[in-house]
Amino acid sequence: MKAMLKNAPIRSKLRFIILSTCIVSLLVACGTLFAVQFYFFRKNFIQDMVSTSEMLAAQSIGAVDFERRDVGEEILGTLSAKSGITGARLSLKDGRELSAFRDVGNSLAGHVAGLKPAQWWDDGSLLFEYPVIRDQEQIGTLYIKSDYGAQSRRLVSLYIAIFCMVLGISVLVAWVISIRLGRVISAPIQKLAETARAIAAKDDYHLRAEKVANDEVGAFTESFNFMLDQVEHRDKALRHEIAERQRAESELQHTQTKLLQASHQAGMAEVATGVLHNVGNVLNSVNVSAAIISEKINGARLEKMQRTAAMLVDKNGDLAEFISNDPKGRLIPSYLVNLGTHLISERNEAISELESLLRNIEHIKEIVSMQQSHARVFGLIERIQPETLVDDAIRMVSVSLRRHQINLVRDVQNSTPVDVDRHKVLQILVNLLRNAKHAMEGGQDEARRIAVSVDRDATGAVEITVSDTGCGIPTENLTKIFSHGFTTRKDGHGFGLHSSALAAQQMGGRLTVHSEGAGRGASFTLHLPAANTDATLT
Amino acid sequence: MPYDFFIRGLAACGGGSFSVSLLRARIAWTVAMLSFCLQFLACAQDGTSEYQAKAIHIAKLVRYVEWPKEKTGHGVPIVIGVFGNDLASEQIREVIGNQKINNREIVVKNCATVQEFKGCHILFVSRSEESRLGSILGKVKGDPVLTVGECDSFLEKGGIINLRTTGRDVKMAINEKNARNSGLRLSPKLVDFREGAVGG
Repeated sequence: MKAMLKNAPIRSKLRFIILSTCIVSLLVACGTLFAVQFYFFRKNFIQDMVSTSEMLAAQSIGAVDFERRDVGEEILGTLSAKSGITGARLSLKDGRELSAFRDVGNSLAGHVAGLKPAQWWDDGSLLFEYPVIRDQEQIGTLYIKSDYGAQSRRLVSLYIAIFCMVLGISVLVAWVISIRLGRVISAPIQKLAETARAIAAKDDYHLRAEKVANDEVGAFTESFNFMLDQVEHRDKALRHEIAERQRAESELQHTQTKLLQASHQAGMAEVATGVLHNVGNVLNSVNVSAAIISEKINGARLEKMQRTAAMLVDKNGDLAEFISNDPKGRLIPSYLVNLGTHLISERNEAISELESLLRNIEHIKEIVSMQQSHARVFGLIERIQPETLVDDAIRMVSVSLRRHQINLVRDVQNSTPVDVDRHKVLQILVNLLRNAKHAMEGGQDEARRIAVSVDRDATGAVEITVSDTGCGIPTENLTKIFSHGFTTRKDGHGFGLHSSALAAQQMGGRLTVHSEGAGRGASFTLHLPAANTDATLT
Repeated sequence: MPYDFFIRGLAACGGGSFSVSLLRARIAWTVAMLSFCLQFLACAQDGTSEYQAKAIHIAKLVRYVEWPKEKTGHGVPIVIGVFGNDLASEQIREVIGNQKINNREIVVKNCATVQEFKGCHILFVSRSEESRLGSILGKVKGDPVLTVGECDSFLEKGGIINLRTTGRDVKMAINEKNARNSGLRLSPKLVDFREGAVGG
């Protein structure tokens, strides 16, 4: 009922309110009126019966005293003119019946005491027992029985009929009035609603509702129109603001693209620097190895061996005498033995240096090859072991870390392949390692430590964590550290972690940070979904 | 008088030729006789005679009549005079004599003179004096004497209350006008006994 009324039109609601108010008012009024009427009916009925009984008792004195049945019957017979009396009886003092009117039943007896009348109820009937008194002496008794129940039922039926008739007429009149009045109230509201619907349908805030009257609805219409003014004004402002925001977003996207490129270039520069450092280091080793080989070759005892050989040529013919007796000749055999041993040693050292040289050259080739592989285009998804990516990243920054005397610990616990863009992961890891390195600038040498670990979390995803013992991150910065433009470094641009987080998201992973606070180090974890080993990469 | 009726009945059915009218007269007489016998038997059964019942009525009437002040002094006895049948006088005296009503003594006596009539509060004239009713009532006309009779023409001839016997019942009829003319005030409670009313 309530829900039905809630969604009903205002006109129906008004009609319902008027009719229900009318019905309730009538119910209350008629109920009260009928209750009062009923109260007075009962009171008057009893009073009437008392009066009738008193009158009849007084009138019956002669009939009772002279025991005149016919007179008594005549007196009681007058009760036939009174409605509601079902019976009456006149009894003599000794209890003998003198006269009777209709049937009074057998329940009439013994209620009168001390010349006082009595009245009582019996099954909806009101009964009276009145003493017939002559000169302070009871000479008989008058009994009267009245059917109060039938009388009251008739009255109730009459009241109900009156109430139904009044209710019907009132409801009819109220309904007609509600129709007339309903239009006065609902018409302005309907116009207002139609205007609102038109505005909503056409999205046209130039429309205005027509003010019909100066009542509350009129005031509401004015407020509605004023609100439309405001909405129209704000709509214009909003459209302007949206246009401005779209332009700003476009510029931001453009800037981000530029920054991304700059970051990529910076990464490439970092990689190139690392490569150059590595190549330089290896070239140093190559240089040393070449110098050693050169030194070995230059320091070889070839002149002595040449003079010894010339000496042997000179003594040709008397070589045996010379070797046997000449003091110099006797030294030649031992000299040759030593020379051979020495040459073998030098040859071995040269071979060793050459092998080192070859390894270094091979290392240079690897470095160059890695650099070439990093220079490839982004976007290629590969299935790869995460520790491989960790090793590559470490290799890229190892020179820088050594230069800053930072100790790096690598720990691979539980690894599984991941399907990722190698270059994005390397970019993230190099970024994290570089940030860790920066975080430890100014710290004590023995405390500078970066730990890189590979593990899997409870869901099976791969976690690559880069922890440092650097300056840490204040709690208030933890929530905004991945925001674009946020940085604590003087020369930072606030894009590294932002782009790293975006890149992680693009690969279906995420980047998280943990720090106990300033000065207590920080820990960044790259979460990457494990490769679906059932699927094959295309 | 029932006895006269009895004698006339006997005469009517005493003999002569048989005819329809005679048969009817005989049946009527027989019914009347039976009725009389039943009345007699009824009175005999409850132990009250006609005059005893009328005496009770007369005693009760004292309560409903208001005499002038000169007849109602404190301690003044209420005198009930009986004129006519001695049996009536005896039985009335027997029933209500020496009683007190409203602290007033009841005196029942036989009356024969006008002075005696006028000294009574109530004067009962028996049906034996029916032929002289007019002159008797004329003598107490205007005097505050409640005249009580038992003849059908009693009220017409100036009497105030007539007590008729119907079966076992004594029926009372009142002529209020005659009472007023005598200076008596009858209680309104006797209104139903007025002449012409149901009981009258």
